[in-house]
Amino acid sequence: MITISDIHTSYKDGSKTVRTVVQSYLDVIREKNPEFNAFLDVYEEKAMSEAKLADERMTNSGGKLRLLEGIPIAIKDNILVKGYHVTAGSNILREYTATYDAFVVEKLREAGAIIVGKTNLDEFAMGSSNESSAFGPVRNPHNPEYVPGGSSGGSAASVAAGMTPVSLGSDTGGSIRQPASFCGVVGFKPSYGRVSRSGLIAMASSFDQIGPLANNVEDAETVFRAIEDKDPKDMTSQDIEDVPSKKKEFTLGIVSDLPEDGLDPAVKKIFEETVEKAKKEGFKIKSISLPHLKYALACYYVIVPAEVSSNLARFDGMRFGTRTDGDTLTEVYSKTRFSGFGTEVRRRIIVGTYVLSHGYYDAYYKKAQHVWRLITEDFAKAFKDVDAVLMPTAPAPPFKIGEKTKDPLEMYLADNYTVSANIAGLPGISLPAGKIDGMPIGVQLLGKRFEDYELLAAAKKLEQALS
Amino acid sequence: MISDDDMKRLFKLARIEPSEEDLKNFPEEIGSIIDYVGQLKEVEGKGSDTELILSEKDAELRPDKEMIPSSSDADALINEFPEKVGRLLKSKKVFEG
Repeated sequence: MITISDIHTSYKDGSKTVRTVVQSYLDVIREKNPEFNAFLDVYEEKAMSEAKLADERMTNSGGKLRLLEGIPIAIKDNILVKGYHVTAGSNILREYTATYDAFVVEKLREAGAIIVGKTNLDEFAMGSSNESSAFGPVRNPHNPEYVPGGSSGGSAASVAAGMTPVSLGSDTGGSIRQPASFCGVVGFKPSYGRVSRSGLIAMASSFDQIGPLANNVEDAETVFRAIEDKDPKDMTSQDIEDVPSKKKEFTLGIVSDLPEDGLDPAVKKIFEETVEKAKKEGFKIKSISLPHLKYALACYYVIVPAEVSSNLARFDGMRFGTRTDGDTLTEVYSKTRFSGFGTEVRRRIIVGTYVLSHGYYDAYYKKAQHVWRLITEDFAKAFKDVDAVLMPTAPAPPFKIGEKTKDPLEMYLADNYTVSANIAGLPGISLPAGKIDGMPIGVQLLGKRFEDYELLAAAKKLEQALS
Repeated sequence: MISDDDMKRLFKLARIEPSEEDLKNFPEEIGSIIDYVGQLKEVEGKGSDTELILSEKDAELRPDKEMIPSSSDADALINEFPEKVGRLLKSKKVFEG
């Protein structure tokens, strides 16, 4: 495991150049990507020319390093890099070229990072296994017969297989944390509003958030520091006075009413062992109640499809993307959307159309909004007594490719413990906690909204306990 | 389970041509998702009466100021049109009949 700090040490002592480091990661991508299918695009030429410039800059600046100077990074392919394809894992955007840089891409470049390519994902970030990508599934580097989790499966696999030291993903209901758990890496979803969504292809705008995947918490924090900022192009992004925390004492909340339907006994055992390790490390443990948590997944699967059906209305074959011809304008729309969208995307659009349609709006959408508030209030109450909440990241271990594709509801249950952080706008981080039959299992910490650095400090301490 | 007629109506509203496979599988699959989310009906209460705003800062608006894209941005956007005539987007007739 090579960290940002290792790479920067090698630049400082002159043992490596940016060119040798970037080339070594490109070599790993070339060797391993045919097996894992984590990358959709590799910017080999561009990355090497940026590496050359970085070497020159370092020489001219007397070896001074910016936050991510010369660090290769992979970007999930629903984030725009100007002049390069951005597919969102969908046929409808197969040939689409991004017309501007996402805010996070500008921030990464300002920090000196080198973008080496774009990673595979579930189509429009809808999925928990990376099997809904129009470009084939990503395979788990711990065992290629297994899924890497989703939807940021390519970004998680890239870090796990040593193809990049860090990557960016997006998390709407667990899409950074769950693949991090399945691939044995760290995945951090910042508070809603900490990182700009400008240039992220929208899935559910109320919950979408960009964040890093990394080998350890410190690297995740470094990438977060580089990308978090207020952006005038995203009105939900905030200017927050929150700096890296040196806090050492933490009280962790354990949810007494955690829904245990579908919780695998081996995952439960690893979680209980984690609690014991945390106690030994000096964490105080307190039981908390989140009475509406059991409704989080149902709430999520009303709000998200509703926003999906609205956000994806723009993909109609008119201004961008592929177009399928028809006799009338309406026919062009419907044929384009049939041939361009995969089954899971069509399914979610139809569910969203249902819950927003006349006669069902109050029963589903309005009710889900009430539950959204109740869950947010439950967390606010709990955070009066604890600094962070500790939970399993996913209820079950990684599963085999094809094992759950027949039953969409069973697939949705993989998000049972991750969606609540998105609903309440909280930061959440998944850490590797153990293995079952050689496959990684994670636990997650959820923190107070906008106190991301305090959560990261708690995560560093827990990482210590788990190492 | 959702009826076949309702399913066809939903596809029409969503502007998606239904495939035979979707019409065969979706009524049961989507029916089971709707049944699952139906458990929300048992929840009492609706949280605070204020609008659903996660923090005070969420209510901030952008300055009311015009933002004009550069001509190269416009060219890049036009370049992505699936069909065009010169710099104009080509489409079927908007008004039929």
